[in-house]
Amino acid sequence: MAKTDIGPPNYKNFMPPVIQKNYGKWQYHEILQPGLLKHVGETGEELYTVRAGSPRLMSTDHIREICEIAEKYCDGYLRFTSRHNIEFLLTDKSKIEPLIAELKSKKYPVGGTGHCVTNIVHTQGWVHCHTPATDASGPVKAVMDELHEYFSTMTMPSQVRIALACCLNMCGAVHCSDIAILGIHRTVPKPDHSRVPNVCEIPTTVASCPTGAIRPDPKTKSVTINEEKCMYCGNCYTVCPALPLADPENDGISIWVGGKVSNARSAPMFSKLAIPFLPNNPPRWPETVAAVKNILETYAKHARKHERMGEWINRISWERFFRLTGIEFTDKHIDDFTTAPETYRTTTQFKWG
Amino acid sequence: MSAETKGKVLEFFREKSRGDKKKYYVKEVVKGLPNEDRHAIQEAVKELLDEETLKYWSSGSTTYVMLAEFFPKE
Amino acid sequence: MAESETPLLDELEKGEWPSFVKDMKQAAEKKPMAKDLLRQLELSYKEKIGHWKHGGIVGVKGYGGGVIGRYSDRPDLFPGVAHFHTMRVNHPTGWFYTTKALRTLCDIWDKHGSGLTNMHGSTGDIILLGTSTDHLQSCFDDLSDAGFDLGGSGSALRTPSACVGPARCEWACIDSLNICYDITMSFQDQLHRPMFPYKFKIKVSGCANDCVASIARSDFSIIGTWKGKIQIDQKEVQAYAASGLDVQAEVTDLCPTKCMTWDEKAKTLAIEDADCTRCMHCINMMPKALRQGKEKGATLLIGGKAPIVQGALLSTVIVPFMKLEPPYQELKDLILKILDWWDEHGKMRERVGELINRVGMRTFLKDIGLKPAPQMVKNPRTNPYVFFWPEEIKKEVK
Ligand code: HEM
Ligand code: HEM
Ligand code: HEM
Ligand code: HEM
Ligand code: SF4
Ligand code: SF4
Ligand code: SF4
Ligand code: SF4
Repeated sequence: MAKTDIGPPNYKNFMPPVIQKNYGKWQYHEILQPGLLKHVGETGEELYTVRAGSPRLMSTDHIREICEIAEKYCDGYLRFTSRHNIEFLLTDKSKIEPLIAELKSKKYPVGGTGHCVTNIVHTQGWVHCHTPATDASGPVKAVMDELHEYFSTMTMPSQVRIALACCLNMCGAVHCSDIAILGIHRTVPKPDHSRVPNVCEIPTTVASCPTGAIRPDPKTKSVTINEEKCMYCGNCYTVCPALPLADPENDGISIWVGGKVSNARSAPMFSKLAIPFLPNNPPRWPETVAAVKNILETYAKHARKHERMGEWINRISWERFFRLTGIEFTDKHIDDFTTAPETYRTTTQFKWG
Repeated sequence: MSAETKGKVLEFFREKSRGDKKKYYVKEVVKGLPNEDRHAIQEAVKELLDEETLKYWSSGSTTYVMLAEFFPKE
Repeated sequence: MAESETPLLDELEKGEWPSFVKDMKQAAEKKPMAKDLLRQLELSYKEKIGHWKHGGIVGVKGYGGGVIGRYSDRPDLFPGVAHFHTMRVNHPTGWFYTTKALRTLCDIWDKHGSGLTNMHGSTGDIILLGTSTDHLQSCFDDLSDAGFDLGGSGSALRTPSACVGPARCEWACIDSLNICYDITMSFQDQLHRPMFPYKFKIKVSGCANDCVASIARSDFSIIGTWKGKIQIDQKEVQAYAASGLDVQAEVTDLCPTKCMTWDEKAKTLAIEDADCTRCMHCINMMPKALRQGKEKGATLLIGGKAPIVQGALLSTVIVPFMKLEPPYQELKDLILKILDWWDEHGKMRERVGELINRVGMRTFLKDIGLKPAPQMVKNPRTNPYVFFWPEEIKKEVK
């Protein structure tokens, strides 16, 4: 039988010699051009990193192609970033130009450094999850097709992190992104009373609901769902496949803005609701693409240098954010969860917009 | 001692699985056997899982344990 | 030319950004199951609805996680994906690879699965996307022979992740990679055999830039920081100024504590280090000129999580400063103590941050044995509902 609990391979065996030698001894770095970093060690040794975008969903053939490139230019060493980018690690300066040229000829976007829009962190969507309110790879591809020039340049006021999660389980941790694209369901699961008694354990199904919205219904030997309590998480569908949640017309996308993770200057922030609902419109989600682009370009036009989206909005006020972006403010924007009162205005100071 | 705890854990599952509900959290087992040490119960559950008397059932984010004989067929 | 079976997805082959459809088609040429995946996805695009069912299968012998059971709800149309389970594989810390290792992974996955992957999943794991039930064990066996292991899922620890840290970043105050690897190896049981109330995530960032989003995405966040003076190389500051950086506007004015002053005439930078909150901004701006203080360690925070169930939380400070050097015993003891406390007191599906909110931070601190410090709060309480421990109150009141 196979060995268990061996853990991941030791990263030390996967680092190129230049990193092994300079581990913990890097002195400084520069971004030489979009997608190209230079790190200099205390000994003066130099490491070059060429960063390129990936679709995250990759075939083994695609990975082998990346391997071939890394073998040709980087002695077979590479890494991936936390945002699904590929990093080619090399020491031979003369190979940088040809590497970048080859990447470009093979249609790899080179960039994702500094004040850019880097790759979109995202989840599974219709490709592989059972509770999505939208697809993940599709909207990401559509949005990045539109924004790719911001990936390979550094013309934004600051770093811009976009993330997508296809339901509010938010496997993708989008809640602290400059722009978050979040799939939302708007209808409660529809119990299939003929199947529930056969395929589901009623007590487990009832207990699966985090908000206690599910009650057993002795009459039908099935369950009923309290529409006011349900927040569309899909937990019940996970344990009971006779409670489908998805709905083609009522599922869609919401847009959240102004979150950040880094502690630089201001503290980390959650993203806040900008647009409560946009329809699912495959294959290219034009409404979502337009909304993201509008928010991004409004920010790029008005923010000061080094201001993250959330820092910009905090300076100019949400009143002005809605005016500048032309996004309608609705009752959905006003919180009514337990934390709501903290978001109400308790001063007479505000802007007209 | 471990064998005794194991017996009680198994007894718990046999007893509780008579009704509709077959899937249990380890925490429910701990609650159902208040006189047993929590860690001992967890070890016993692990042994029963290794022996495939019990089986894991996972929602992806939450894990249940159930008697292998009741594990849903594909 | 035959008409395409996937006209909607074909649209997404166009455009500048790398297309996942192209990758799916590559796999589909070799693997009937990848072909059915593509066809089922096309149906989803047409109907605007997903076609997956969940199943509770966890896969391999001895483990309680690492596999996500997945079944098509239209096996009649797409028999190739009738079962199509995901395997989560521990990523090498820092996501470093040799092409040899990657090629081995590819060969194993071509042999056992769909040939499709995510590099990487949001937890950081390598995601091998789609195989049938009868291949799970043999695939795991091959992975194990090649030195790879499964990641966590369900009520267990997730594969911890770390920023690139000392491998390629001068700002790493701690050895984020080694800490992460050490924790991963020490906590294999907690990773592979779910016994907890819910999931638990640990992420390690070398500095306050927090490149793995540990403050937002982990129950236990380890973030490097320092004590002592920021080391200034005035010559290099002047070089930045000479090369066009507006030190006043772009560095000192944006310092959140206003503890920096730039003397435009003398071209010297001064920092009132006692007031610095180590946000990294100035160092980010002038990496050649500024280096962190010499005493390095980490701030430990707890409780970050997504909205399910009681709203999202960011991690909050519980240990303002801890030195982290191998074998990291103090750190691991603390994590184990917290895991055990959560395991004992947490309700099912209650993340540790929610448990702390329910029972109160002071109870957490007392049970774990941590000393309260003003660094843990933005401000002291404003409400007067102050509770004292029974032993702090005189029992016999005359
Ligand atoms: C030497 C400087 C830095 C290095 C080497 C560095 C390295 C990295 C790397 C490799 C990533 C993953 C990037 C990707 O996948 O595209 C990353 C992500 C990130 N970095 Fe940095 N970074 C640096 C500076 C900064 C600065 C100055 C900030 C903030 C102002 C910052 C904030 C972030 C954030 C927020 C992420 C995204 C994390 C995530 O959401 O996954 N980094 N960084
Ligand atoms: C704007 C919408 C938001 C989306 C889409 C979103 C999504 C997600 C998702 C999915 C995760 C993974 C969570 C976990 O592991 O526990 C996630 C993570 C989290 N989100 Fe959000 N969130 C959103 C907003 C929030 C908000 C408003 C909060 C809080 C309001 C929040 C907090 C969290 C937390 C905590 C995590 C932990 C992520 C992780 O561990 O990977 N999110 N968020
Ligand atoms: C109750 C709620 C949740 C359920 C039922 C759930 C279920 C799932 C399932 C079934 C998957 C696998 C998707 C696939 O590969 O087919 C998944 C993936 C994932 N989940 Fe969750 N999840 C829940 C909440 C969360 C939360 C709160 C977080 C994070 C804080 C989270 C983080 C993740 C991550 C990181 C992945 C990998 C996603 C990817 O890389 O695409 N999940 N979740
Ligand atoms: C240490 C805690 C506190 C003490 C000792 C305290 C004490 C007092 C006292 C003595 C009054 C005058 C009552 C009167 O003359 O009718 C008062 C009024 C008031 N307090 Fe507090 N208070 C405390 C905390 C708070 C907090 C936390 C809040 C709100 C968040 C608050 C809000 C008010 C308000 C709004 C009034 C005016 C009530 C009115 O005039 O109707 N107090 N407080
Ligand atoms: S965010 Fe929701 S729909 Fe998307 S992969 Fe995670 S659980 Fe599935
Ligand atoms: S979708 Fe979530 S909240 Fe709604 S009934 Fe199901 S488990 Fe409960
Ligand atoms: S978190 Fe800090 S130390 Fe780690 S890679 Fe990012 S900037 Fe470097
Ligand atoms: S690290 Fe941040 S707080 Fe400290 S001096 Fe630099 S900018 Fe100011």
